[in-house]
Amino acid sequence: MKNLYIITIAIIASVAVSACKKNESDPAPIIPTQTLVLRMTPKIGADTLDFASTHITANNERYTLSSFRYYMSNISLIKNDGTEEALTGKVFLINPNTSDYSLGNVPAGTYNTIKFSVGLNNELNHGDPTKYPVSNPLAIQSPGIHWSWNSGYIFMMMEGTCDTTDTNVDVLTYGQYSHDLFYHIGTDALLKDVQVSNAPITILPGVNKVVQIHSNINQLFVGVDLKTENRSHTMGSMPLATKIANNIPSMFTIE
Amino acid sequence: MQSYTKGILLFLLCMTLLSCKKGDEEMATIADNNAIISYTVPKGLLYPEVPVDNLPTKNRIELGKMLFFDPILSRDSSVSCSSCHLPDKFFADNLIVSVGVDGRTGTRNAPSLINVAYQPNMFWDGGNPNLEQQVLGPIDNHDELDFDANLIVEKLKKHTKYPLLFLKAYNTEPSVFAFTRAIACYERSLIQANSRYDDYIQNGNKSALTDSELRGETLFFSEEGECFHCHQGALFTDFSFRNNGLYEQYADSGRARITQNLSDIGKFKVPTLRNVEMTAPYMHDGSLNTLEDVVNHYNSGGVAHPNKSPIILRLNLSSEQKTDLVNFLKSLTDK
Ligand code: HEC
Ligand code: HEC
Repeated sequence: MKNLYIITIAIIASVAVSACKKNESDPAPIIPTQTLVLRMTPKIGADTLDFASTHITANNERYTLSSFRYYMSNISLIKNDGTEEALTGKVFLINPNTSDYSLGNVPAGTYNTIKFSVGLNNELNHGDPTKYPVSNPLAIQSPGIHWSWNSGYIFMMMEGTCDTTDTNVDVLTYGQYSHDLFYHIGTDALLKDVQVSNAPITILPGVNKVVQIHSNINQLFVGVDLKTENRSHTMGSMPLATKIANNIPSMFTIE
Repeated sequence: MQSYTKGILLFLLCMTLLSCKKGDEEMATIADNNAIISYTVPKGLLYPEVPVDNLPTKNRIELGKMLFFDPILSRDSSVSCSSCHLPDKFFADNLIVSVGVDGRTGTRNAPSLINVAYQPNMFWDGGNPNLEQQVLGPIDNHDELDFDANLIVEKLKKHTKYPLLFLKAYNTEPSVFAFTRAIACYERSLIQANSRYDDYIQNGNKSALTDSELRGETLFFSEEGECFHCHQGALFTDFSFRNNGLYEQYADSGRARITQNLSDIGKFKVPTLRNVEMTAPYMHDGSLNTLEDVVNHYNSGGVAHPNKSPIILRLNLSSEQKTDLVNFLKSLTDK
């Protein structure tokens, strides 16, 4: 019975494949291309992100994290002469369970800047999330990262707890602070363009390239008083959400 | 092994359907029930806009109806769409604010879903674009179904009945796409307009309304009453967002929650007035208990608010006029 099932699938698959064969012949590439992978590593200061320990902001305020995810889209690489290689169509949901995100084949060369957006453009942001296959980062996620009450994606979702008492008592007892910390940052107005150019990216033909990009979470708290500014669903607390979003571009560095 | 067998059976069923081969009777019925049908639309209402990826079939409406009444959509299988949108209450619930899982209450009054097919956007603030995507709203809402669309799909896949029904209706296994479509397809079928007022307007039945109701109608559509400026057309709404002067300080910012514009604070979607007699209490927060309270509110001109519509003004109606207006509203109740 199992074999029959497999055979059936095989037949369907072969029909599907033959139906999708391309007719046009691809022109030979002039510049060699090479696969490029982004290794996205969230950090807190010098430490790697973990969901178990207590972290400390630059202002010495204590917090823990339970979730940190964001959408990365609109990615391009820029050469010294200013020419831009747009990697259209790539959308990633950067999350702690996955470190490597493949950009596919990229023309070999030296790039001085990687550009991307944290968030989604207007069209993607207001698309229908039920229409994507489950494997697509824009499909409904578990836990969710889409707002159904104002229909748009949460561009960056950070959740945890923070110490608003300065006593450190509850975290020692329960492993977390009793006060919620969450920033759900979204809406078209808070789409953030990021440029990282602290180190050149050289892609050599025949050598698979991995570029490691750090995101320093503490950077989000610059100018933020964690004692009072610890919750935002964007809507209803636009000033705080804007402050957090404005900190996003300075989070990133190439290792 | 059992699931492989099932897989093949489902696959064969599919193939049979696709090849249109006249199989046994059941196959024929499934095929029949997959024919695109038209929603039944009463005189006086236009045919609603229907998305091309969700044209109605009997199988789709049936599946959507089953899901609408099934608590499988809630975190602890305790609440269904129909817990707050009750068929015998014109798909509203007669509560100030609805009750969801764990007895939690939200902050807004549940609207009737009769004729929801005509709503150009969803919710009191219009924050959600259509019926299909609206289905995600109560699932995400911690005060309503408080669940997870992907976990619902997992449960539906394991259910004894649903996989076959999804296959019949949408030619797929249960998915977020298909279950949101099915529910929307069912909701769109809730079209109704057979009140005494419709009898009067559509059939010219002069005796359908009492004298008091007729005086109420005239007042409603006059510059004296002003109601028709916002409550206009066959559904008694222009679907605009207005502040009708309920509060000096709104606890719920309304349309401003979506647009972030200060000038939208306290603006809510003008609700339909069909069946309004049966869907008390009133307003976005269920704060007015009776139609008399509503008419008294409008008669007073409401309270001052920078965003209050300039046509909400003190009316100085006599008590007879107020009664007429209420009586007219009650003539909008479907049979
Ligand atoms: C716990 C009660 C509750 C449950 C359960 C519930 N709803 Fe609602 N529904 C409401 C309330 C309250 C509103 C108004 C919310 C708002 O405007 O923000 C509403 C609004 C709606 C609207 C918008 C109507 C309009 O005119 O804008 C639709 C459609 C709807 N619900 C369908 C559903 C469906 C489908 C389900 C099941 C998947 C469901 N509801 C489950 C309480 C509920
Ligand atoms: C400026 C536009 C406007 C005018 C004029 C107006 N309304 Fe309304 N009406 C609204 C809005 C907006 C709401 C919902 C407000 C809210 O929930 O905060 C509403 C709500 C209602 C409701 C409650 C319906 C429900 O399901 O909760 C009734 C009944 C009603 N209006 C009747 C009337 C009558 C009768 C008049 C004339 C005396 C009138 N309206 C004039 C805009 C208007």
